Amino acid sequence: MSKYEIPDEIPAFGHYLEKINNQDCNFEYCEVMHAPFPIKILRWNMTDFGHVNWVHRRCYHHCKVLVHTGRVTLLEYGVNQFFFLKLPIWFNTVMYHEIKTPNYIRHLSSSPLGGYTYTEMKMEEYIKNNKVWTRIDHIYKMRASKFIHPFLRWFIRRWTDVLWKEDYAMLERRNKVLNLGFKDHPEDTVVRAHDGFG
Amino acid sequence: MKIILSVNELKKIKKYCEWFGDQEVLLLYTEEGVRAYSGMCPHQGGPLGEGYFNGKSILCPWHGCGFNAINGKCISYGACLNLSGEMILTPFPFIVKNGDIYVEI
Repeated sequence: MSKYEIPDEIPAFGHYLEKINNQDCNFEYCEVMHAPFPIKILRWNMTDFGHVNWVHRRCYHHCKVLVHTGRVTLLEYGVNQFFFLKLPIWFNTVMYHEIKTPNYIRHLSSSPLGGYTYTEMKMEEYIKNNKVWTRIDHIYKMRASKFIHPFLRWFIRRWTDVLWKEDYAMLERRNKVLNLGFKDHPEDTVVRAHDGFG
Repeated sequence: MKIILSVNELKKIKKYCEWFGDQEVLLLYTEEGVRAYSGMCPHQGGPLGEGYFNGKSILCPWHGCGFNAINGKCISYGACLNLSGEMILTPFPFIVKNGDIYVEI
């Protein structure tokens, strides 16, 4: 079974984020997106960390898998916080990424200024004009001073816009090539430690 | 056999990529002449036609897999992890006749 094929039955591990109290969050923002692709294409994109280094260079300096086990991945991201000013300044953050169910991915990222950002992605397939579409609810939660809430909303909107445009072209092509019968190059069955990307 | 474009045009633009039905043809003007490959990266189907090409090698813009443009062999894995065996670009048979490139699709 490929790593992109996730069975409906989820083993009883990987629910660690429930132990983290996010009730202290005083900021919540939800971005809803609709994509003309099945969930498996979106999930492939959300669990493919390698492409971040190449496709999302505007928002990320790098993405490194530190530890990967089952549905849980610990990542180090170099985040271009000032992407909207096109300044080459980036900060290291650590992200705990978890696939809770095949339709629900969530992560917890440290912020360079302290605190955490709790993110949830809920996906739901539906049929529109005889085509499979997916609705994605991207929910951001964090604790921050009320004075900067309007800025955070603006920042997340811009951030999502940039990433979504870059990902959309990728998703569209991935969907097309798979529908044409393209088969991925096989993966090695030996799991190795990740030592960064070349 | 389908005519794609002339060698002189390819020499100017260095790389050319186009879909013909289900097939995506990538033409490269390398240091050793014309080469025709599938435009889908063998890793996950990335758009090689949008990748960086320097006359010797081409990089896939999705994960940074690098391929030797002359023989199609993978020369760097970029951000691809845990791949088994050797990756190689899928070549398309082609001929150059009267300065035009004909590819068998």
